[in-house]
Amino acid sequence: MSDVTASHPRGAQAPLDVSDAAALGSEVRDWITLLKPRVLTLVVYTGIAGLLVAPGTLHPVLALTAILCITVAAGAAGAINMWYDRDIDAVMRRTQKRPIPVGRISPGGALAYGVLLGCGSVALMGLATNWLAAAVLAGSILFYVVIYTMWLKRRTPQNIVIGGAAGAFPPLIGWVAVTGGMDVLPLVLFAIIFMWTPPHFWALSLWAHQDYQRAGVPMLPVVSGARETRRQVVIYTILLVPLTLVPSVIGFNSWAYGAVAVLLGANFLRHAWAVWRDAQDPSGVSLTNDVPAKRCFKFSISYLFLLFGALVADRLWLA
Amino acid sequence: MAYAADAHAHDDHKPSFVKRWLFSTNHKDIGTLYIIFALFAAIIGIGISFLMRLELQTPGMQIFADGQMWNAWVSAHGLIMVFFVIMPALIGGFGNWFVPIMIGAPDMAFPRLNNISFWLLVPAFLLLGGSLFVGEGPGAGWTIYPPLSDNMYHPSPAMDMALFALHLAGASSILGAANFITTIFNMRAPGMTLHKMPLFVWSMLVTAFLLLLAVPVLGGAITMLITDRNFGTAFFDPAGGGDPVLFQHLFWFFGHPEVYIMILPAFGIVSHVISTFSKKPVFGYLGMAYAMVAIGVVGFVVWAHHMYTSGIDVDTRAYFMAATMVIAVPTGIKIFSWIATMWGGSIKLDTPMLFAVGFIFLFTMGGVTGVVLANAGITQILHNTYYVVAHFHYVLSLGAVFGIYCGIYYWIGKMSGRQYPERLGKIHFWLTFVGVNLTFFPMHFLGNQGMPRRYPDYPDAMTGWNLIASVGSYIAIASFLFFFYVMWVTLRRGEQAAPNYWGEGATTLEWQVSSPPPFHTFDELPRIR
Amino acid sequence: MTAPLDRPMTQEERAVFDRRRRLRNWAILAVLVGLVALFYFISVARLLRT
Repeated sequence: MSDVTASHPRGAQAPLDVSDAAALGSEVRDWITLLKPRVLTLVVYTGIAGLLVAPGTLHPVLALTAILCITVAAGAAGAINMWYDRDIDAVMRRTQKRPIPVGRISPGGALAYGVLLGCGSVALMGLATNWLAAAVLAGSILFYVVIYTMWLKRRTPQNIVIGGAAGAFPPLIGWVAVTGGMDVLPLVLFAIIFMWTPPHFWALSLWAHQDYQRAGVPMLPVVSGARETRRQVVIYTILLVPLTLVPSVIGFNSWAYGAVAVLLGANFLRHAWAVWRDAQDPSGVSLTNDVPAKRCFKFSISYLFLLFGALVADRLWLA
Repeated sequence: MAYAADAHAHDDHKPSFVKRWLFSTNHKDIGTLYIIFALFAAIIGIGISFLMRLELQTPGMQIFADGQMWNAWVSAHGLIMVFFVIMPALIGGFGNWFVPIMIGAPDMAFPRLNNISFWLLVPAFLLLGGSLFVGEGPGAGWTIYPPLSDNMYHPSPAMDMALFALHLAGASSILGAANFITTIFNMRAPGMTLHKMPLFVWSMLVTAFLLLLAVPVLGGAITMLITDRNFGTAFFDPAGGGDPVLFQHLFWFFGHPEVYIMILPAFGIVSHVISTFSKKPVFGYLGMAYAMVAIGVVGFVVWAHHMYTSGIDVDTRAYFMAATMVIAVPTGIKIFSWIATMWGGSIKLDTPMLFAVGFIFLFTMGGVTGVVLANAGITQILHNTYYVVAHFHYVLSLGAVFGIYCGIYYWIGKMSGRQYPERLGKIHFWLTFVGVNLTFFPMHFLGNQGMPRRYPDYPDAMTGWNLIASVGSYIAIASFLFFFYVMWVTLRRGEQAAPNYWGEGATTLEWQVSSPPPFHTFDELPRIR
Repeated sequence: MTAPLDRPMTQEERAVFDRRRRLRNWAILAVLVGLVALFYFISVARLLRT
């Protein structure tokens, strides 16, 4: 692992060629791209879930504002991430069409954009709801930008595990925005997303790691091989499923939710197991074009949506 | 920064008079309209202050019929000076004139919106002025606190007219702010990065953001006040479950940023002037820019220091006291940076520089009394006394107004093409400087003696300082009239101004174009290096 | 936010530049107006809550 550490790219200091195309200016959608809108769906969804299950009420306008702040803050973190990662984005096929590598948005412009949106959303969150929520929101941005992007991403294959915490913040923030305090359940929701991220992402990385290899980002399949990656997917799934039952155990949810969680968990385990048992060569590389891994990845997304949907529905109408 | 000055003759085709001035979409013409409007409003606002000082010159009632009438005219003075003199002159006037030029843009982002912003101010001003002559007038102070502004104490439509005037002026400010933000973010010439922008543009950017966040809150508050007055709601009426202190929170959430809205553009102008007349780039450019950002941000979390005596609990007061003291830090950074800019420079004390140095001196004075007033304990005694009046006039009447004069003398040659006569400018400065200090310095003593604000009469013991303040105000008002004479001489007989009449110290883009600039500047993109 | 060209723009390039800038202008204005409306309603909503 240490050799990977030594050769990690320089990040924000790397120079960048900008062609003449840059002089014509950016399109509006380039600035939307900077926010990584596809990642935001999950953020919005889990954030709303956190708002809905929290005890107490929030004025609809303020609730809407809280969701907006969570979304924009996550987008701002994405923009700052694109500023820092522009060197590896330019190398990876999946990301080389992003506005900064293409040159339509200057790195400084993207940074200013991200910082402005980040500070603005934190301030608005504080003024509209409460300052604890704003502090957690600021923490989530800093976690993603500093701990994940700047520190871990290029240094360790465990980047996904700890970086996943950044994606686990929204329900927590939603909860705090309503209650103004912390409780067990939002931490459980946090832990669920935290545990869900590694199997979700490593399933993807099994077939999409060539890009990361080219960019020199240490991904588990690159550093430890596909076999180890498959093992980790199964381990984290096994850890995840009991965790999803905690809301019913502590009596926050009824066992109707518990039943759904068991059902979904069993399915997830089945998919993870299929990934482990996939036909593979001795090093663990798939001989089936990674069909089980792709299925597992797709299922992991619906899994989280359904799980949170069940949790909210159960809380609002049954528990 | 360098721009190959090529003034094309075809840049200078102007439309007919009505089209040019009534339907104007040209940022320079709208800037001129704003400045003329502000000077006109200043005649009225300063005229009212003349009446006020006449009344207060000696104990007893002289000019005003009763306390209500006094309060109505005092409120009008405050609202006019804030919304119709300082803001239009600094933001609408200099902002419109010089922000697009300084960033190499052909015009504002939304020229027609710009026109609407200006013309909203005119009916707003007429409504406010008219309200003085309806019923008992809008006598609730510029802070319009309920229950005094409720229909129980102000039953006539005068208060509604004033509130509606604030709505219109607020709409004008918001539209203008949106226009400035869009212009500064998106209309900069290629190569003009945020960290190369002149400090005046930075000051306008921060100001515009403050407006955008603060004014809608004022809008919300006065909307509720209007419905309380006319439609039977009880947002601020305890009898109906409302709370008048909440109005104070909303008002000052707007009102405190508002004072920075008025002073930040002056900071920007003063930075340019100090740098130009010291022939040095401004000391600590980035620190200066981000100090303004910091002032803007912290300015939003100190509002309740205006409410120390409103019955908020002691912990809240302790927090707001600490936060208020913190805001003196970025302000101090600016003061020291200006001094460091002058340090070792080859200083030329022309009129703009005199006003800039005067600004630093007087603003520091106001800042020091501000730190005194930040203390919740001391304010228990000084709240609503003339000490407060002295404090905010030192930062506004002497700070912001000196900023306006500073900008006018600095740029009048650029705007009109004719340079002001230096000797008359200096006379004007000294008259003003002596006059305003004589007016407002004694008010500290009056405040310490316990003279409350918003009263037309006072005990005989306070006659002495009041008389001196009145005499000072007559000097200041004479200097204001003298200013019009200086402007008249400038426009009639002033020397033709060169493109860069201040020489090597003036480096921003407006000095690369002719004086006055062609009707259209930078239709070709300038190159900034 | 764009890098300057070393040569003058052609007419087509200028047209693209102007169109993109105009669209960005409107996008920023839309966001700002939205923010103003949001602040207005937040201040009313916060008042109603307490």
